[in-house]
Amino acid sequence: MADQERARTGPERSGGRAHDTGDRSAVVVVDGSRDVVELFGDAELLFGCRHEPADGPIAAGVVVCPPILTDFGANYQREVRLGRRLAATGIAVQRFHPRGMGHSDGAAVDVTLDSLVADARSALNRLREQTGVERVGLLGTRFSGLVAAAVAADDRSGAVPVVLWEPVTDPRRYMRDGLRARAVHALERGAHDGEEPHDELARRGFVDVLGLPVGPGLFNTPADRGLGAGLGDHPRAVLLVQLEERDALRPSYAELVGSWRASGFDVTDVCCPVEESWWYVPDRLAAADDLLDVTSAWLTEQLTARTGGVG
Amino acid sequence: MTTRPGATVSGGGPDATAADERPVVVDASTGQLLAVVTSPTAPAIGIAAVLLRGAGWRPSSGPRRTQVRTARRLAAHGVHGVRFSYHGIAESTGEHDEIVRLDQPYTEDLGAVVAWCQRARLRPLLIGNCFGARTALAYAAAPDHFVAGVVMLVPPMHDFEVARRLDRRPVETLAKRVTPRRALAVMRDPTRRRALGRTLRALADVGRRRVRRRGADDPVWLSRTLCRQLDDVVRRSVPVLVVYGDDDNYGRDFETARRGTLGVVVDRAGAALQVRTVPGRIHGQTSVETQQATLDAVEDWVERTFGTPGSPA
Repeated sequence: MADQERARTGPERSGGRAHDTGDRSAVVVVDGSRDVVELFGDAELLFGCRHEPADGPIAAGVVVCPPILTDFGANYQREVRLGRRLAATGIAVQRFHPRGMGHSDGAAVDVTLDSLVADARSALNRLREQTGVERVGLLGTRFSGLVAAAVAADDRSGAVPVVLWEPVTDPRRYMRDGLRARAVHALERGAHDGEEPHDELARRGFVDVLGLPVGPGLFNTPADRGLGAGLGDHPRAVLLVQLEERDALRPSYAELVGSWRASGFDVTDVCCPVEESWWYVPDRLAAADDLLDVTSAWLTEQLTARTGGVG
Repeated sequence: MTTRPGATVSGGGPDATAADERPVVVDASTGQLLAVVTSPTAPAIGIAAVLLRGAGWRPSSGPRRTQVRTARRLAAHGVHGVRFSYHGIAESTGEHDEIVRLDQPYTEDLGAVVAWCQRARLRPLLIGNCFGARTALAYAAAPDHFVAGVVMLVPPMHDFEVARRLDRRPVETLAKRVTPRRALAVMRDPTRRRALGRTLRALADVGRRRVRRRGADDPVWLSRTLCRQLDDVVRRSVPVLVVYGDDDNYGRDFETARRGTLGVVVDRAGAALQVRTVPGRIHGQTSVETQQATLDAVEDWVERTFGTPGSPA
């Protein structure tokens, strides 16, 4: 593979503060994808990686909204693989680290659903500025399903398709699951999870969820910011992937899909057998070939095979 | 009164931000490694902290951002930072190994990053966590490799997990798992065949040690390679910091191993090797408090060992 790869980096410097943007990008070409890694934005910079076709025109674009907390690392490799795969077929993919996460600026305790949505919009703008694409889609995993849905809802034409990988439907339940995982982890260590989350918030300014500081804005995400209403009122194409080997969607997803279809959304639902524990991420990567196959095919069809409205 | 984890002003300048950073591609024989370089916010002291993650598929960025916070904090002491993803992980290219082995550290990846530092006229200070700690030590131990220091966070004392677990899961238990169906499945799957080969080699090594009983105080799972590498490093007066949490199993292993050959190495090292313990469990990084205490320990050691800008140690 190595002989197929080329690289270009900015000039090396041995010291000094970098406040210009001239050398804030690096490029790797691999498997038909030209990966542009960069820091972009205004007051607070975002780390991003844009997968562009190594050769040929760019037909459309996709913004990948990364999940949060432990899911961020668990899903990372799948997002990279999807980005490179789509880029090789002519679809540019913009990945990014929201503020307070990864290599980006900001503090973890300041992350909120609104800050995540704002950063996803910045990533979408960056994708459009740098590639000129008009047709775009969004992908969100777990909590960032709420983010992708909110950004898609900005579009009133219904031309922006949305992919949801194992999306969180209720932000309050997601936080409760995190606290439950924390309690189980404490039990495994022979400790006890004594302090109430709201007491901890008041005392420390954050809740420690398995080594990840969750600030009040994220922890108290209102229940009415759930996925049901998050996609807005304008029907669009949605791919919902349940990452579990079952014959049917679990009830919460089935209910959601039913309500969207009743409102005129074009919903495709798929069950993919990915054994992911999410809160407890093992060292081995869960296989995800089926997930990537399904998603690539669906996005390619939505973004390149159809004509019509502009996102 | 609340505290914001990671938000500090320390050393000679403020913590760095993304504005002080830039992505860089480092060419290695294993692939092209995506690194993020942090420039100091205080006058540079000519040292680059090279941050090495543990095993697994996580990118250099997180999710807990310990490397990000370490690089940005040390920048306030005039230290450059280089964090990178191993080959085949995240933005780095190459084929990642399905199984990462402690006895096969990623010294080629690290060598390429160190070479980048040297071209930038920076002396590498290797800071590794778990598998990254073993990679840092293995690299630093080579006679023609020169590093400014080595920080090892929760380094495992064994080479083979199966050997380490024998006191909890003896050979008899493993033997009971051998069924015709399982044997057939292993023979059909190349990955499982390779895993079986590793297990058998590890068990044979343990068996040999039990028969010979050289270094009678050494546990059979102790990595002799690690002891030799650590000895090689401290004999060259390279400063070394070892940090464990008081709830880390690997820390208990370190104390057990210290009663034998490892203790001789540690005693011979004298002031060149420091061992610090912080509250909690570093391995897994599942506590903000322990992350902070670990970062504090590293920062304090760096300041004492290399000095602050304008006042060399």
